[in-house]
Amino acid sequence: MRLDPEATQDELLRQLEREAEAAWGPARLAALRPTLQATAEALSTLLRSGWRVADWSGDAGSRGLERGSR
Amino acid sequence: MSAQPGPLPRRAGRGGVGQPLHGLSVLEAAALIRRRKLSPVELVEALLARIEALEPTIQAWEWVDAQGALAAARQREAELRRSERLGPLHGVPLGFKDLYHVAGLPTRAGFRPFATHVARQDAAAVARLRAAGAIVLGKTVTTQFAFADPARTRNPWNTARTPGGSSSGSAAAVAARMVPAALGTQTAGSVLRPAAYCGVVGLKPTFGRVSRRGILPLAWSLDHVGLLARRVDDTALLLRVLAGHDPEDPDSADVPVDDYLASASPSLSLLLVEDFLERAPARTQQHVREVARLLELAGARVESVRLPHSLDLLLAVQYLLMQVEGAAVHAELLARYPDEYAPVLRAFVEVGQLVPGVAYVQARQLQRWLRTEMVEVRERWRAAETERSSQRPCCLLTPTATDVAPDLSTTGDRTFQAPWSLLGLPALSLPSGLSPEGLPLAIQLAAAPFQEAQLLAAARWCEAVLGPLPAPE
Repeated sequence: MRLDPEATQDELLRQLEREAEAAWGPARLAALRPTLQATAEALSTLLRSGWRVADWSGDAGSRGLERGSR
Repeated sequence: MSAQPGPLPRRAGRGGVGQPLHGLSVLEAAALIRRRKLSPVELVEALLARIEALEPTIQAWEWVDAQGALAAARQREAELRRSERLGPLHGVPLGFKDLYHVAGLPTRAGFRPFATHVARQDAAAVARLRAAGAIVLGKTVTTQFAFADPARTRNPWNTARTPGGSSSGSAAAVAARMVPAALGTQTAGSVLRPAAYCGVVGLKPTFGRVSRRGILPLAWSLDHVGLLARRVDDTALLLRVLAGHDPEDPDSADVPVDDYLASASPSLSLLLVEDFLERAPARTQQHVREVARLLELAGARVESVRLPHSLDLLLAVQYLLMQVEGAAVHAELLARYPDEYAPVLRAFVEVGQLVPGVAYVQARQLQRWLRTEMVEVRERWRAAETERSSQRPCCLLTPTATDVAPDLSTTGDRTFQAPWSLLGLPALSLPSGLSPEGLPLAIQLAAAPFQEAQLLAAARWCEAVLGPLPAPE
């Protein structure tokens, strides 16, 4: 699965559902739905947190993490 | 210690402090045994009788090793007679969550294919406690692989309520006076939350403080050993035995161990975390504010603080780490035994295999950063206290759980405990009262990494102010 930094929570959920159906089969989708929703929410929170792993504009990149402006 | 030959006294089921033997704390039992006022055999027999009476209702035990415990107790009694050098836990029976390997006993983890798996070696924590004189009473029930599908165990305060999870049996057994203390594990909230729901003390030390060698994993960057007992000093004594570097656990920290029992304080500073209170229902907020006021009246300095980042971010990062690492841990086993997995865990592992590696690495980086920021909040306050020439311990104060123990369909809400697992900070749950329906309430204290001495000193101070809970009926 490719993580699109601009994806909304709904888009992340639909992407995860497609991946889950391909990996585990359509019969598992109903059982997986609450976990898929929780996972999409967590990924969305991560993406929207305003943190980015590296800031290439200064020395923060060497620390590996910096608060971004997203 | 002088030799005292002959049989040790039999006390008709009552300890030297005028209470039934099953009600003795770790420190009380250890002291009575050391003074030869109590036989380890008699104590084990009393606890086995208690288990026999209550286990059909509470269902806290996966395996009671009656024969092994009695044999160990007889050996401890013989050592007492020979006046051999005694460990600090000589003759004290303990329970172990069924994720810990105990040599000669099965480690089932709530998973049927493991029913006949017998451990060949003790987990490091079990070995340390045995070397200190403790007796293995048995294995306590865990939710399957320490995840969120409820186990069969009931809450001793109300059997229609959950004891919490995943250390369900450990918390319930300690609360029901079946054993003076037990070990659990925590990846999200699996020690602190059951402690709160069952009205006992729960301690989750700093990540790396206690070796996890010989314990079945759930998520390597989050898994902790945890302690459950009825008194703060009992957890302090157990931690003194358990803490220390283990070169065979790659995450074990080589940091000096303090004397956790020696630390005491005339007062303390508490930082009331408003972000937690805002997420709690009104009655939980009211209770914690009342407790804070009570502690303030007793001499504590209490101030409100806010987290440097959102609670939602902490929970999201913790969730993703637990999910991806859990998926890695269970990938092979799930492929072999998909239908043996409990439904919530199975879904968690299946979806965990779909989370992108990029997201996992970002979450790992955030874990480190968030920990640094949280420690800085506390350190700023600590510096201010030092300027005031105060040597008071300084801890964060929150509710342990969003509310009292819910029904048996769930193990409860991880929201208020998972941040400490993510950040690796030491945290302790302390009983703080009973709700109108007679269920335990609890406050939670958290300190800086490896500051367990401060945490325990603060908890001891609060315990003295708040007083003990009665035993569940």
